[in-house]
Order: sequence, then C-alpha cells, then structure tokens
Amino acid sequence: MLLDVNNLHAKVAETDKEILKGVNLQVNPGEVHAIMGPNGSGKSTFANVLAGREDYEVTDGRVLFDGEDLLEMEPEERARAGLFLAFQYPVEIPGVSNKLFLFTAVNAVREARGLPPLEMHEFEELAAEKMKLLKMRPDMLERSVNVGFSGGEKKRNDIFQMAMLEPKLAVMDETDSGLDIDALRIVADGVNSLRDGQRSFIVVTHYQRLLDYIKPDFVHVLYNGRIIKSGGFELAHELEEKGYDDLIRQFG
Amino acid sequence: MTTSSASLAKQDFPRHPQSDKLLAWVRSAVEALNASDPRPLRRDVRMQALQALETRGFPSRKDEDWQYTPLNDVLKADYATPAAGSVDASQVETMRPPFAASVQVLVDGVWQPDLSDPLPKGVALASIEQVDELTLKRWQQLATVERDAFELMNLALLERGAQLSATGMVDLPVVLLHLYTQSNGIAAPRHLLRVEPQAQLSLIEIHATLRDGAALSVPVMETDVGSGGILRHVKLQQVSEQAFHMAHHFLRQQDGSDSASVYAALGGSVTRHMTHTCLLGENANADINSAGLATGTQVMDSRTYTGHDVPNCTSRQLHKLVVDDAARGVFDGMIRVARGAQKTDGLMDNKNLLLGPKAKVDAKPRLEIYADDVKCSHGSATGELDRDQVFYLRARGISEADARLLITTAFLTEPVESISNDAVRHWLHDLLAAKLNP
Ligand SMILES: Nc1ncnc2c1ncn2[C@@H]1O[C@H](COP(=O)(O)OP(=O)(O)OP(=O)(O)O)[C@@H](O)[C@H]1O
Ligand SMILES: [Mg+2]
Repeated sequence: MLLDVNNLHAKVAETDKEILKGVNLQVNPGEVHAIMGPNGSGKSTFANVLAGREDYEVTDGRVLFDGEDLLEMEPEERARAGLFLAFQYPVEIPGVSNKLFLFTAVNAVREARGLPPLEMHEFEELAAEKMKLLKMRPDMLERSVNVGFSGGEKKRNDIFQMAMLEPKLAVMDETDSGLDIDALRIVADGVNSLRDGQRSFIVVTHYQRLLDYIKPDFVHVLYNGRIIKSGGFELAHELEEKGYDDLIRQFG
Repeated sequence: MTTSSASLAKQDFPRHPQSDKLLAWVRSAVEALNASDPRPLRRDVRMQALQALETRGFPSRKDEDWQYTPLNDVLKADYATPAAGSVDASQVETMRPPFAASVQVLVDGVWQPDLSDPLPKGVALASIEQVDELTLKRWQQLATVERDAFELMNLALLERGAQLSATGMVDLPVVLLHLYTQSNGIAAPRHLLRVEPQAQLSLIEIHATLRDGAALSVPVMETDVGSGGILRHVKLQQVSEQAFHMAHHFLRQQDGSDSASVYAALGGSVTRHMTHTCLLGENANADINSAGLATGTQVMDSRTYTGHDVPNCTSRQLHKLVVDDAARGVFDGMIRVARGAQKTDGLMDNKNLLLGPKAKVDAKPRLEIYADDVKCSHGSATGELDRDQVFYLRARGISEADARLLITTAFLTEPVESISNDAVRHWLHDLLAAKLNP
C-alpha cells in the first residue's frame, strides 16, 4: 500500500477548531482516487495535512506513506519521499524565477533519491519537453513563480512541477477549477501521461468533467471532516445528478 | 516677528548633547587646512561651513530627520588626526570589482592617478584642488545652518575629491574605488561629476575600509546631467562593521536627461545615504533604487528627496531593506512636486523585510504636491517572511533554510535587477546574496 490514512484527526493549530474528524483512506500504487464534497468539508485541509502544512495540528490517527510515518516528516522530506501537492491556490513568489526554484527543487529531490544532480542544460531540456506537453509558453520558465500568471496558468504551472518532480503520489486540490475547457483537457492529458501503473493520484474536485477524462478508480465523499461514502466512478455521476443532500441526510 | 539666528538654530535644529567632541575635531582640522592654504576663497568656504556647523551642532533625535538614526556612537568615537594613508597596487587588485571598467583609486578621498587605470575616451578627471571659482562661490552659499550637519562637515573639510566629466558616449564603466585606510580616521571627499549634454556615463562608486575600526566617511557627490545626458550610477557601501558612513548625492538633471541610480548597503555600524534629486528640465527621468541588508546591530538609513521642479518629468523608486537580528533600518523618502510642475509622474515604493525578532524598520514616505495635474504615488510595507511562500517551496522538496534564502535573496536584490550592465548587476546581486548566505 502506498498511502494508509487511519482515523486522522486534525485541528487548526492556533485554535481548537477540529476540521478532520477521523479520515480513513487507503491508496494502492497506480490507483486514482477522487475526493468530492461540499465547500468547507475539509478537503483542502486533508490535502495540506498530508503535505505537512504547519497551520494544522494532527490530534489523532496515523498516516503511513510507502511504509514510513508521514506525520513525522518535514514538508520537504515528504516531497522528497514522493508526495506532491498541487495547490488549490498556488502562491506567487516575486523575484524567484520558476527556473531557479524548480532547478533547486528537482535536484533536492534527486539527491534524496540517490540520483546525480541535473546540469542546468539537462534541466532546461527536460523542462522544455514537459512544458511543450502542457502547452506552456517557454518564457514561463523565466518568470517569477506564479507572479502575474492567470488562474489557469498557475494551475498548469503546478502540474508542470508535478511532471518535473515525478512523485509517487500526487494530491491535486481542485486543479480543474479556473481552467477553460481546452486547458482542462491539456491538464488531464498531462495527468494521464504520468499514469504508469505505479504512480497514484488523489484528485479533489467539485466537477465530473475532469473525472471523465481521468477516470478514477474510487470516488469518496468527504463531509464535515469524515469520508461518509466511497464508491466507484459511478458515484461521481450520482452526485452530479442528485447533489449531496441525500447523502448528508443519510450519513452525515 | 524677529528671531536671532542663535535661537532659530536652537528651535529648528535640536542639538545633540555630545556634539562638541566631533565639532572640536572638525575645527582643528579646518584650522590646519586653512593654515597651509594660501587661497582665501577656499579658506572662507571652510570657515563659513565650520561656523554654520558649530551653530547648529550635530542633530539629536529630536530633529525630525534624525529621529531614527542615533549618532551617539558617531559622536563619541575617538578619531585620529587627518592623514592621507597609502595603498599599494596589490591591495587595489584585491578590491578591484570583477567587471571591465576603468578603476580610479581614491585613498582616504585623494585621487591616486598612479594606482588608477587609464581613463576611457570622453572622460576627464582632475583633483578637486582645481575646482573653479564659480563653484567655490556656489559652495560658499551652501554654508548655512539649514544644511545637513554632515554636508556642512564635508564642506568644512574641503580638500579631497575628484572632478569628473563625461562627453560623448563613454563605453567603459568608470569605478571610483574609495579605500579608507585609517582604522579611526575621518575622510570627507567631495566630488563633482558632470555628464555633458547628450553624453552617457556609467559610474560605480565603491566605499570600503581597509581596516576595522570606528572610522567615519562623509562623502558628498554633486552630479549634473546635461540635456539629453544619460547617467547610470551604482554605489556600493561596504565599510567595516564598526565604521560610520554619512553620505550625500546631489543630482541635478536638465531636460531630456535620464538617470538610474542604485545604492547598495552592506557594511557599517551606523550609515546613511541620501540621494537628493532635482529635476530641473522637462522630460527628464530619474530612477532611484536602494537595497540594504542590516544584520547584528547595524543601523542602515537610506533616504531620498526627489524634486519635480518643472512639468513632464518622471521618477521611479524602489527601496528595500532586509533587517535581521537586532539591526535597524530607516527609510525616508520625499517626492516634492513644485507649483506648475504639471504632468509629473512620480512613483516611490518601499518594502522591508524583518527577519529577526528584534529587527525593526522605521519608514517615512512622503509626498508634497503643489500642482494639480500629476500622477504620484508612494507606498511602504514592512513585514515578515511569507509563510505560504516558504511552505510552497518546501512542498517541492526544498529545505526550509534554502526556501527562506531563495525568497529573501529575491526580495533583497530586486532593486538591483534593473541595472542594465549584466556584469555589474551580477556583481552587486552576488554581493548582496553572499551577505545573506555567508
Ligand atoms: N487555517 C485555518 N484557519 C481557520 N479555519 C480554517 C483554516 N483552514 C481551514 N479552515 C476551516 O476549515 C473548514 C474546511 O476548510 P477546507 O479549506 O479544508 O474546505 P474544502 O473542503 O477544501 O472547501 P472548498 O471546497 O471550498 O475548497 C472550513 O470551515 C474552513 O474555514
Ligand atoms: Mg478546498
């Protein structure tokens, strides 16, 4: 098993507001899991807790990633171990070029995996190839991280980083929101091209459209800090038709 | 209402209680200079500046301009009697910046042609000794109590410095390499720079001490950029961590001229640099940037005055201070738009980053506008490192230390990224980055 989340509880570190109230989730290599659920149910919190954001404090439960205790690891150690979070809101970092940032990141991850560092020209070749795949303009590499990028460009930039870092598990938090129809297709193709039977995905989304392209193996509904229902791809269709009300009445 | 000049001084120029020691040093230096100087006009300039300085004294922190910049240490220090030190060619070699340039060496403010490179075509350089009578008379007018105390001190100690002029397109940057040799000396070079109409010059000033100690440098540079002239100016302040540096750059621009100037502050115990710009001809542009990194207990003060005296000029400013440990940063910026200076377009931005829990920045951006059809804005923001930015980088596998360094370096070096000469830009960028990541 790649990811084993067991009874995960988390609260906002500064207050006592509990957001995750016992999440259970098992992800095997190569699987694609979708997480859906109404606004404010804890989807982003779950994704951020997995990535190690310090704003949240885990109060109970455990998470094993590739057999290791994920919660004991620093955010950068998680990334180097192969966990990737595509952010719901990628941040802008003025003055830090995409190139320098990603070059530093790629080599930090390679070092942790026992690989020799890439030379700048090797990195540039690899980056050019991935950017082409994602139909990104080459000058995006020279620009400051996400600064002045449109909403869709920011999302695409995150997927580009994912393609460069080659994680074992990619957690994508609403990567589809803010994308136009063509961009959605491009991002979905990008994700599909990274599916190799080993790499796993957790896709947080509100819409069925992305799932139609990616075809998840499992769909989970997160509500009020818990997964209240899991099913196959057909669950997404059901939700698209009926909404969450019935489910919440039944299980919430 | 009548006020005697003494009570005026008391009122408007709060006097630092420890002024006397340094005033006495300046008086004896002036007397020694005048005793050996047969030229009456120069003696008068010095004496008048001294008297104005003695009348107003050095400022206390009740003086609005000196509210945040303590002078106690500057005034308390024991300074050696003036001497011109000597430097050998190998010392110059180690201080030489790593880019193609004509390096002119100033030892304790005295130009050393023997240690300097040949001048590029179009550039003339002479000692300030040869300054003309007209300029001296103008300086005489400057010797009044209203002027800044260190500006008066510089004028009172008039002796050293260089006159520099540029005609035509000068293709090689000129470096004024200031080497201060005395560990506890005072040097007050005064430079005159003239960029002739349509001429273009890139000038880089480096101020460095060769020995640690409480040395004080008080340089003043007066620059005139003629019609259509272009000036690219960089100043690097890297005096020792115990040294003091109180500098002025007066920049006057004629119509259609363009200047871009960057001040980078690395060293010093208490330091201040003032860029005072007057846009005197229409369609002139001034870019004024600064970047300072204060650590330990350093006090770094960076300030500008930008006078839009005529219509249709533009000015652009970006000033950044990164302050760590228990250091302090001070930014003061004033844009003044004179009556009738319509279509002025002035923009001033100040951003500061606090790294240490005891670090502090005091910022005072100001606008004074006496014209009605202008576009002016100023902003100032001081904050800590953005946690979301740090997390974003860490979530990509970059260590926390490297993430902080990447973000801080980018923040600090932004004001130098506008330097058009690649080699000069990289040099300054790397110096700032190296202080962040020793
Ligand atoms: N740092 C925080 N401080 C305070 N409250 C927080 C914090 N992070 C999340 N919350 C709260 O926790 C709840 C869950 O938020 P979260 O962002 O995880 O929801 P979500 O399921 O991703 O919603 P959406 O679909 O709108 O993105 C919300 O009520 C939110 O306001
Ligand atoms: Mg969310």
